[in-house]
Amino acid sequence: MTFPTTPSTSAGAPQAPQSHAPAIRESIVRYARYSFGGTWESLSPHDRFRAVAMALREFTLDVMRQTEERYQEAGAKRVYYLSMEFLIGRSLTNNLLNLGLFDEFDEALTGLGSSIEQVQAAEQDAALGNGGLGRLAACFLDSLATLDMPGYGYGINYDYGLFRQEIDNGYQRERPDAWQRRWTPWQLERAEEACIVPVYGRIEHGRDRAGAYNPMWLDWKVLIGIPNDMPVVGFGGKTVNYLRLYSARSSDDFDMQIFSQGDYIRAVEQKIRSETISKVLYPPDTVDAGKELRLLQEYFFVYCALDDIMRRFLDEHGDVGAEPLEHFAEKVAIQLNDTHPALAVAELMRRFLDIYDMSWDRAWQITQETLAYTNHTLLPEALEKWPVSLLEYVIPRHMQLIYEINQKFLEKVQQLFPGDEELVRSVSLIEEGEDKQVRMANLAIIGSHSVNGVAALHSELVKKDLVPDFYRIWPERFNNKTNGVTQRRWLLRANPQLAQLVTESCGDGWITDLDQLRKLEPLAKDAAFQQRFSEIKLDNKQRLAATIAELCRVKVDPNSLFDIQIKRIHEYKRQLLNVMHVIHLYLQIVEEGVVPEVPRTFIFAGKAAPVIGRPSRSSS
Amino acid sequence: MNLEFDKHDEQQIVICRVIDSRIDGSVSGDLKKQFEPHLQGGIKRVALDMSAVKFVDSTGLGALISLRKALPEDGELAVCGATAQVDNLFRLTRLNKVLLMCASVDEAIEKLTEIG
Repeated sequence: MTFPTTPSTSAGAPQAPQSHAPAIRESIVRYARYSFGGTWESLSPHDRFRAVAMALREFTLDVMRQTEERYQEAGAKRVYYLSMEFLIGRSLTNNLLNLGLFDEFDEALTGLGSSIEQVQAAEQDAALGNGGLGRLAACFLDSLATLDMPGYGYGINYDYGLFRQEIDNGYQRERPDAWQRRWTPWQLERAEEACIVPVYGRIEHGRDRAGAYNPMWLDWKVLIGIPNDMPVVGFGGKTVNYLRLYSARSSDDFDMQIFSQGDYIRAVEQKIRSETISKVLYPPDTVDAGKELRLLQEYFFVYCALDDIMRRFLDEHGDVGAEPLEHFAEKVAIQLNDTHPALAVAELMRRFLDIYDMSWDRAWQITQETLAYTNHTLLPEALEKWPVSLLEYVIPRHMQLIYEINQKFLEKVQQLFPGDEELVRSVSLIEEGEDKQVRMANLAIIGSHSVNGVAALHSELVKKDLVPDFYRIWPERFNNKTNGVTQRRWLLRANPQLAQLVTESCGDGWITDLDQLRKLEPLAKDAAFQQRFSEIKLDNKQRLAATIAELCRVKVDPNSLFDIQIKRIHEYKRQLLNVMHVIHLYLQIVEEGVVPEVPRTFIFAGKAAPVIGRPSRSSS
Repeated sequence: MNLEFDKHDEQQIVICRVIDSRIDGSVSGDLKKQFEPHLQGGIKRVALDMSAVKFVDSTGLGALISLRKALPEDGELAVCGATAQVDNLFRLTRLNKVLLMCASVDEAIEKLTEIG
């Protein structure tokens, strides 16, 4: 099916000259018949969703191919966002809105006696993240595509995303979220681009043919990374990028060898162990429970991502001069979302040095020019550290390189700040002690040309409190990038009535340029605007009140002020402080006779990090 | 393990073509065994044609190291015609810096002859 290239959108985008709803309807019915072996009426809700998603996917994939051709023709620099988490959520309506096909699909589904709302209710939630860090990653991908920039995400295709929450007798119970139990039409497996990932083994300290020291990484095992692409649709329908998520598989080659030796059970065990790597997203505060597996996850996706990025670079630019990799940083930018992908520093160096025979200094310069690091936490105790012994066991060559990076870096620090041993100790990649640790934030800072915090105050505190010694060495390296969310999802999609009002009042430019909301300022005192705004707000509050009544059996007054805190439930999120404020206001009313200006309803929601060994009471 | 041996008599180079598409733990022991008569015959230079090999696991690479060690110190083991994937595995282990990597058997004979 061929769709229009400048499709219509629901709130404020151009209208297509003619409706393609009949063709869309035909496509949906065809998928129902030939992919799921039934009629539209006979399909389960989930298969209905999949039939609709597959009809939409045709258009998505067409644009994705066109986008790639455009980038290749332009020889564009590509931006890669490496993140352990992508909190994607549901994609159907978002993709429909961004492609401008919402109204036409809605019309097609109405013709089938259904609606988009009904169909999307059956879509699994791709909860491949814990909270803000993962949602930030997903919002960035949306914005990159909307800005027609070649931006790609790289992460892990977890079988189990963030746990489902159930409240049992006041306690949170975590239930597994097997979001991929049923095949999702949004993912395309690219088995032909699988990546062989070496892991474990030992270093043999040998000599090369010229007699120079030559450490050899031997006796490694092999994992296989299978990429799965999720299209990321930019608003306007011109650009579709993708998020590449890797699933871990055991190596068939490796397993066949054990099978051929007749050890069936060992072969199956090996397969299970390998595939465990992409099995589950670690909830916060639980990383200690399985350190080796978490390290394997981080290494696995970094290795796969860099393998893919380098392959694409050489495919596109391999014929540029005698040394194409000299131009790597001109065509590749890699952003590290927190320290989880910090091993990219060592892995990129390993590739430049071991695979491409680059000199150390040049490899280091290109590595720094390519990488940038986003810091998310100010809590020193929350900064990732890995025991040296574990790194030596899991990735011995990388640990060797980390030592070498550290040695060369500390030599420079000593030259710049002679005699300042405290500084050397503080910025070293290695935390000395009985069990030596590698400081991943230090590795990310040293290996990057840019270090940013995610809010103005946060970025200041990174410089002043968290890593002041690094700021002293490289003040120019530190900057701020304030977190945001995409207004396509969180206003256009989440609040269609308000989106409509904004568009009617100041045009639809705000959908891609949020600063245009300033055009609403003159309307702040406009009675008609205020009236519409209040009606929309009340209508949304009534719908929320109905949901609360249904889920919690609590009746709330939609005319009261809704004071809402929805986020991960954690001590540092300060929900308890908020509760104390509620108690304070209550006591003011009952003990001091203070009459509040308006009645208030306090609403809390969120998932708590699972506490090992006992359920989480704070979420109740 | 299927190996085909040939000899470049003039230059005293043993040419060995690996017929199998993989060198792994199940065949690597056999590799050294089949080379044994040649090693006892005092060969110094070997050109190993790996153009048909698609995968070498770490045990297979270990077998190649053993073979190199079994040759005299002034000998050479040349790996010829490694596919991109196999070449990557040599680079991963940095074995490419220990063995003589050649695009073809002809190139290997030329280089081994030069080295003498």
